[in-house]
Amino acid sequence: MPIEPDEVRHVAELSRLEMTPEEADSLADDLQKIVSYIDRLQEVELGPDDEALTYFDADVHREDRTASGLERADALWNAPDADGEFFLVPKILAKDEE
Amino acid sequence: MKVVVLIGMEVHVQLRTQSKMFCRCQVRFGAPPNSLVCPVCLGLPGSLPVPNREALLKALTAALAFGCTPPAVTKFDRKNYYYPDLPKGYQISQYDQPLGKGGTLEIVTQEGVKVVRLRRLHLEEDTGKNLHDEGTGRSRVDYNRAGTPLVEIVSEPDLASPEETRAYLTALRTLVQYLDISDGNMQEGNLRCEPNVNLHIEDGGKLIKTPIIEIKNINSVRNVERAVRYEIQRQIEEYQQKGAAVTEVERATRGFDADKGTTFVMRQKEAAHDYRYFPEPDIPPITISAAWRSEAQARVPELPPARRRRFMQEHDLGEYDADVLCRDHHTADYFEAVVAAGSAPKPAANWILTEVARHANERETTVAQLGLASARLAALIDLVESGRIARTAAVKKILPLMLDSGEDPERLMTTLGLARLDDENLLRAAAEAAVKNNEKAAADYRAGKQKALSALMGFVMRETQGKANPDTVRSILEELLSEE
Repeated sequence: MPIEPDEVRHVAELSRLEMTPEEADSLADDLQKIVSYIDRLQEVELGPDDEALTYFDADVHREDRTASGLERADALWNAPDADGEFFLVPKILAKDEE
Repeated sequence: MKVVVLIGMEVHVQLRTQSKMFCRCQVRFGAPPNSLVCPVCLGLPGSLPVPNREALLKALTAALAFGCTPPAVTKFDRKNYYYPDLPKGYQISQYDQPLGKGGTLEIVTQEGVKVVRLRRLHLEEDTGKNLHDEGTGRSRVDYNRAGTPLVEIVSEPDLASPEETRAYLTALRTLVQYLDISDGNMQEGNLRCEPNVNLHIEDGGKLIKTPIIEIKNINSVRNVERAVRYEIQRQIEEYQQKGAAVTEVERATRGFDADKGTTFVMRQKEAAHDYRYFPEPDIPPITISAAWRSEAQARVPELPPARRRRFMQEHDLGEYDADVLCRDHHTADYFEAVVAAGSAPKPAANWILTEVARHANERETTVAQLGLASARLAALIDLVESGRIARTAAVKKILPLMLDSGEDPERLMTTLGLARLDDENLLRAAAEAAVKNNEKAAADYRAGKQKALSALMGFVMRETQGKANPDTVRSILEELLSEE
């Protein structure tokens, strides 16, 4: 599956990454190499029983018990901007709650 | 022009758990901002999510109650998008192996029962909350809500009217309350809904499908009906103006303005729906074992449709009354308690749905929380049904006093002298006086005018301050007037 610079730019936009056209071209090449490398896995022949190996047997979950988390001051400590109560971010125009 | 309305619903239900979906922070509405957070729900590097077993069980219980088919193995996926209320840059959700597929929800409207098909039910985490300040150029973010377990239930577009959409939301809220998995409070945001509305318009041999509009910002059951009603009309008008050109857009999002009762365009990035789902590598898939299934199944109580049918069968109630009683399981329990205390079911349903409900509304509470002992209400209903007190006196005088004092209705009736007069001699004297004082009415009745009796009845009722037993009075009057 070839990776086109257009696709790189699209994903970059979704990921809020800025890049020059040259960087997009070069990243497309790099990503292409990585994907081709991983594609080699397709060459492994799997029998019907091997499917199960894709699942871990480890069902990991926990009891519904609370524990105290971070103090608010610590939670806000590394924030680029905060007012002591809230994280502050640049104003969002379109309110689109997902 | 023939218009077919298609409405599908997406409903988010916050599960009532102690701790969050993937970390042990407490779930609580109204706590000081950013006081219930930890490295996991803040998305700090190196933190690992661990699913909450109780949330999985509650979601599985819901899936079974809706009649969904749960998979043998379920898993979580990352839904990627950027928004400040999403600290990790992705939401942990479920994509291709949700906890439930298929299923149905039964709704009741004035027109009867309808079975709405469900598409899927999945488990995910809630986002944080953005507060938009006017004028400051900044938004404030509170992550207390981030990571709260959330079930999303998506229906097929089987709803055909604003009334049905409202009934769907009511039925869904009732069900989650019966299952005791959520408070289902729309004002506090435990229950949020987004209707998807579009029309299939047949016009001049052509079929035009209007864009599917998802409506956001709906915060009450009443408003879902208003929003959908407005949106249907808006789409019809848009088609009348633009014609087939409406199909140029496939989907769009609009917000509901509760003050104006209208929907408005919401700006949306073109690529917003490219979520690049992929399996959550930090959480291994989870096996839905037979033991889990039966544990969840054991939590499913008698559900609203079954209870409604039982009320109709056992107590001979109409479908609509039975449905309204069953919408709140506490009200349904209360009804059963009043019947168990000896009241006839029909009058019990009638009293609860009208008089008692009115007092509950006035006091902004529910029937069950009004503090009216079921045995006391049963006693009052019995006084009315057996003719010992006039219904009006019971409604206007006794019931309010019972609510204030918790007194026994019979005692109140005696103390206030409201018992019906059934004393034959006394009523006969009053009836004789009525005949003497209303010669014209008496003559009219004798001449065959049945209606004239009501004037004589009215006289006796006035004389006895409305306490006379009307049946006794009527038979005495009829007897007196046939004698002469």
